[in-house]
Amino acid sequence: MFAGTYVAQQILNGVVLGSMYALLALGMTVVYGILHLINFAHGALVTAGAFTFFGIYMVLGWPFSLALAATLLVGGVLGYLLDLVGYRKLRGGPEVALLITSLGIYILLENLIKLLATPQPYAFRPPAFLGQLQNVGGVTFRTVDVFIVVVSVLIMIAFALFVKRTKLGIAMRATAESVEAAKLVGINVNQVVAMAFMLGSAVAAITGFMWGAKYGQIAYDMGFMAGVKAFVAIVIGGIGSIPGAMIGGFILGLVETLAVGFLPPGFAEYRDAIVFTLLILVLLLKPTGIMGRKEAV
Amino acid sequence: MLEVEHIHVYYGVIPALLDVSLSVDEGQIVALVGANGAGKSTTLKTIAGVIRPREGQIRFQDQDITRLGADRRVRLGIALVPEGRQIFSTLSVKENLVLGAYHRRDQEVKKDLEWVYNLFPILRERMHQVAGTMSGGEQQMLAFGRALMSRPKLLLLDEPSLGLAPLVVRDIYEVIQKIREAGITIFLVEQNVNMAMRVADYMYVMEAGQLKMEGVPQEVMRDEDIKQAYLGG
Repeated sequence: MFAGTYVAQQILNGVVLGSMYALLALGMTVVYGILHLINFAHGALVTAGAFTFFGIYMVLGWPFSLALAATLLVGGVLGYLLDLVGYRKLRGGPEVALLITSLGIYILLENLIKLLATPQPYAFRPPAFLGQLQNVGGVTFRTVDVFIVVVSVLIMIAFALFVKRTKLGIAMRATAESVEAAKLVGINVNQVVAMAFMLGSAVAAITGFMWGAKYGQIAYDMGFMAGVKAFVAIVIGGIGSIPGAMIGGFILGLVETLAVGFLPPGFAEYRDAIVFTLLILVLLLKPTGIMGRKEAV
Repeated sequence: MLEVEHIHVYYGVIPALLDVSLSVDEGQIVALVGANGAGKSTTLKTIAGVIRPREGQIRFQDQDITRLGADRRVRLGIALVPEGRQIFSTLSVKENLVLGAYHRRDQEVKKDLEWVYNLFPILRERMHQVAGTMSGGEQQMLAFGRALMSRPKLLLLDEPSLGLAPLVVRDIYEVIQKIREAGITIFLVEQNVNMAMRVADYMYVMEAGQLKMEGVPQEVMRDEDIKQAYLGG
């Protein structure tokens, strides 16, 4: 049988991966809630964030905190520009036009990064303190794992407070329910959508840093699978639901990690297949997801 | 206060409003009545900025607002209580009201919230309830309250009595009187001609996208055709 520490180790790994999925799913689901757009370009922000941090911290040698802040900023600005240049003109048109545009933007961004950074993967070396090994009761992890989980939970709490307590957050939920009614109470819908893109993209950029710090390597195509997994997470949680996206992210991270950890050797190759099987099962058995509203799918 | 001049509105190629001109003076209650599908709601939505006219001009307090979006018009002081209410059903009652004052930065929002709660005591009781779980009448009051929170100069009401029990309709019309007493001008669309007559200072009658008649209610109701059509002879 499996030792207790092994189980705990796998659960910890699952929670770390799940935190990152949850962060990505959060940004994706907020945009979906308002525009009914599955923003596949979201994954490119992960790559952009990872390379921004790489460039500023590892190449330019800025301090860690400044590099992190710059990553957030670049993510937010990119998100704003994507909305402004890519999506704003298409609103009110068929939803499929937005979807195809998001795929196009993903391909554009990925190739742009490939062009600028060359197709080779880079070793990603975060500050030494994040790499320190810790051992608690036989479960080993690095400081970066704690960093990822703690920062993710803080971001999620901050986001929950933002949508629950601030006027702009309430306006965001209102716009997700009805764009027309939102306009009728004087909400500037373009502003709300821009804010959703900026926040989601900034969070995705930070997730890119986490990804690199956790796995030690970044490449121009790292965001693709991340974006697709975030999509699976929001389907599991209930598309358009904010708490659902977070729950879906954690479930996905745990299922993926535990499946690989507990299935016989050789199955590890199939981790993505396992994730998509889960997606198919959810779509067959409960298409509205865990927290989904009826009209969601 | 509001002048609508020669507006033409189309849904695709289908004409919805043909050469409609009307005006609303400050402090009045003006009613627009007519049968289902006559274009009453379209008129209101065009004034609120949800629909753009193909031709014509809309002026509010001597400013041309024809090209302004709905959110900008709210800021100028035009608030619409839409047909079917369109409250935010997943938000709480209080959140709905707070959003009514979305564009306001002044210090009087709290005072106005009190005013709305006093106007509709049921909303105070239900403050933290999810709006979609309330009854139709309560949701209509919330829609009123939300519009009032923007501190409108002109309140547009689309079928405020639609689908409500007669007793609730009476309450709603009492509130409309109170709103007028607070100095807010009201432009009202109704199928319930009896209710409209009772409160209106001036009336327009619409038929198939065009205005057929206008005047003070007593005058309009003296017209034989109108009597036939709306009051059952």
